[in-house]
Amino acid sequence: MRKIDYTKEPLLKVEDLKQHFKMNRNYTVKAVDGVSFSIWPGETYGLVGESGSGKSTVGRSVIRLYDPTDGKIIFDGDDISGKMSRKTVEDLRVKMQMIFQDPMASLNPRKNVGDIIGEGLDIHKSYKSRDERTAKIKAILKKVGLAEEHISRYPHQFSGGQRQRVGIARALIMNPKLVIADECISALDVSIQAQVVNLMKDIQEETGTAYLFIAHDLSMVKYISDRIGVLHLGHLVEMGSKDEIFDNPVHPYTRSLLSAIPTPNPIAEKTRTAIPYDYASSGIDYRKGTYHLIDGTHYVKCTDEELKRFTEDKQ
Amino acid sequence: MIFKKKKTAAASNAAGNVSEAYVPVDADFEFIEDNADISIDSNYAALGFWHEAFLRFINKKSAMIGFVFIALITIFAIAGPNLNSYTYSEQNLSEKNLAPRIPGIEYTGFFDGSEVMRTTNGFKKVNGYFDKKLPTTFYWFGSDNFGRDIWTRTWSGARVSLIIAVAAAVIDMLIGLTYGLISGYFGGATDIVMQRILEICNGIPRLVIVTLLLLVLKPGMITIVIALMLTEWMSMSRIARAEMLKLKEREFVLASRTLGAGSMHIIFSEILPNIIGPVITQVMFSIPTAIFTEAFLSFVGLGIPVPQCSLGSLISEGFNSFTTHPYQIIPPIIVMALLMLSFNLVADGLREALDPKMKEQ
Repeated sequence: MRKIDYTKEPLLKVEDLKQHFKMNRNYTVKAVDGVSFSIWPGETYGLVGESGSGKSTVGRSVIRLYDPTDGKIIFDGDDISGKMSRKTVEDLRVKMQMIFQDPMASLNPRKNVGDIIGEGLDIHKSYKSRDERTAKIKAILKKVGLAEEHISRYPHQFSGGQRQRVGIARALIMNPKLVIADECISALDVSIQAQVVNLMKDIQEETGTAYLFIAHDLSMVKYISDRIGVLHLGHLVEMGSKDEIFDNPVHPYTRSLLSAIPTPNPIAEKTRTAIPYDYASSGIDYRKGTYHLIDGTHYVKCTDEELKRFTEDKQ
Repeated sequence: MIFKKKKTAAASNAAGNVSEAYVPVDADFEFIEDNADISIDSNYAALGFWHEAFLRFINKKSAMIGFVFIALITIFAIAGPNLNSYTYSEQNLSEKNLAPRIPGIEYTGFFDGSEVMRTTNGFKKVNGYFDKKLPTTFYWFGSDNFGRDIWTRTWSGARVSLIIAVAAAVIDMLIGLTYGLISGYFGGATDIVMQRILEICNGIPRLVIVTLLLLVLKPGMITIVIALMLTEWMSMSRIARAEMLKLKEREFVLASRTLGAGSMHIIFSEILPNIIGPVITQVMFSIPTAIFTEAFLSFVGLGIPVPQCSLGSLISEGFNSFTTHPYQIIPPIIVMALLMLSFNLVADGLREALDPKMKEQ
């Protein structure tokens, strides 16, 4: 089993990240509104939430596809939240990689697999000869469970699961320290999901990369993550280790989410009731909340009165 | 074939002993016909994009016809003027307005150098070659008002049109495509400024631009190409921009950005290969427009200066003597019409070949 040393400096530290999109003069979408979390080297951080909660936006802001409106992102000792120096950009683009949601859309249909996977190598010129490049690509293909012959094929000649493996290979060939997996399994069917997630786990054992695993499938998040953050309406409402969240959910939104997970036991499933949660009528104001420590690494974002109410509700 | 024989043998055997239970033979479990006649589904999934497009293109008859005509006209434009001893500017006033006469075919009654003229006494058949005692002179397409060979002039004119066609394609590619891609990719203020410039350019009529250009430049090929350069690129840039807007938010572009690709890399090596279909189609459609523009400019007298000629100026000259010598206008018109039609057919075929979804709609 891999061990994560939480006493070390975190690999990624996000502090009060805000990502707003100005639609017009009167209307701004606050996709992410003050999110803070840290990821330590070699761990998997699961980010869950419903559609539109800002999960993907967090991922894209962290990898700087967007320019964050406010907040601080420290990655591997470098501040990557504001204007970056050329060297920082170069570092970021090598050490942090992303796996995308739709395996078809994320591969250029006019390029063959060798060129798709080798793109990072080409851009950063991290090879000395063509042979070295081919060797690297073949090695990574093998690592993700594809054959060497696949190197000259085009994306449309693969199945969904194979395409996602190509996507993973493209991210891993740069030997990243952090991989942002943006709903990377939601477009696959369940048996393939398991394959891909297990592949990701194996690779983590081998290379020690950290994952920011963005998903809405809670059972999958429970399976792969070490720690979990629950995102709702751009606020990180609860975070903690996998067990803390699943065994002792405090925030009503988290409890509502967890109550929606189907159980494989049909008798238990019959009596399972999903707890409804509606932000507008719940009387909770995310903007007023501060992080309250429950125990260990378990935090909930709320005000003092709200916390009292949550704990009473639980009983 | 061999299985067929076995099968009939087995069948006759069975028919001979009706009372006995039928004992299957090996041949019963083999295909009756297993030869190359059975059509096999082509596995298109295994073909590359270009291979597939090529197959679709050559399977489209109209496109192939267009392609053949373009090829023929190109060959004649290159070789045609050298096939006889005349040059495009050589005048022979004693041999003016001679009707077409082709050696060999003249004995059939067609192209024998005679023409029907309308005179005050009614219609009269004349043959200039006999009247002027020129038994060994042949003008294949006839001669014009100044005694110039129309065959040579038609193909020199076609040459001008084809050069314009190539120029138009290059202009479309270089200016229109680049402008559209950059405008679409960067978006925001860049896009707004670039689109407003385009609209202003688009608002000035082409004829005005050419007339103004002629104040500073001498009429000729260069002027026409510059005029095209100023006006032709706009439709291409619009298409390129629209395609760019469609593709730039796609995940494979984001993936490239997360890998640290620069804007130029994304525009020209990620997105451009994906829009090459519409781009080629647009280029092919812009070629006939350009050819026509040149012909139009020459027709109104703003194009190629005499004694050089283009299809447009030939049509303009033939138009003057159209009522008396109609054969003078026919060759340039036919070549021009064929050229425009062929480019349109090829463009249409390419569009379908490069974008197969289009046909299904």
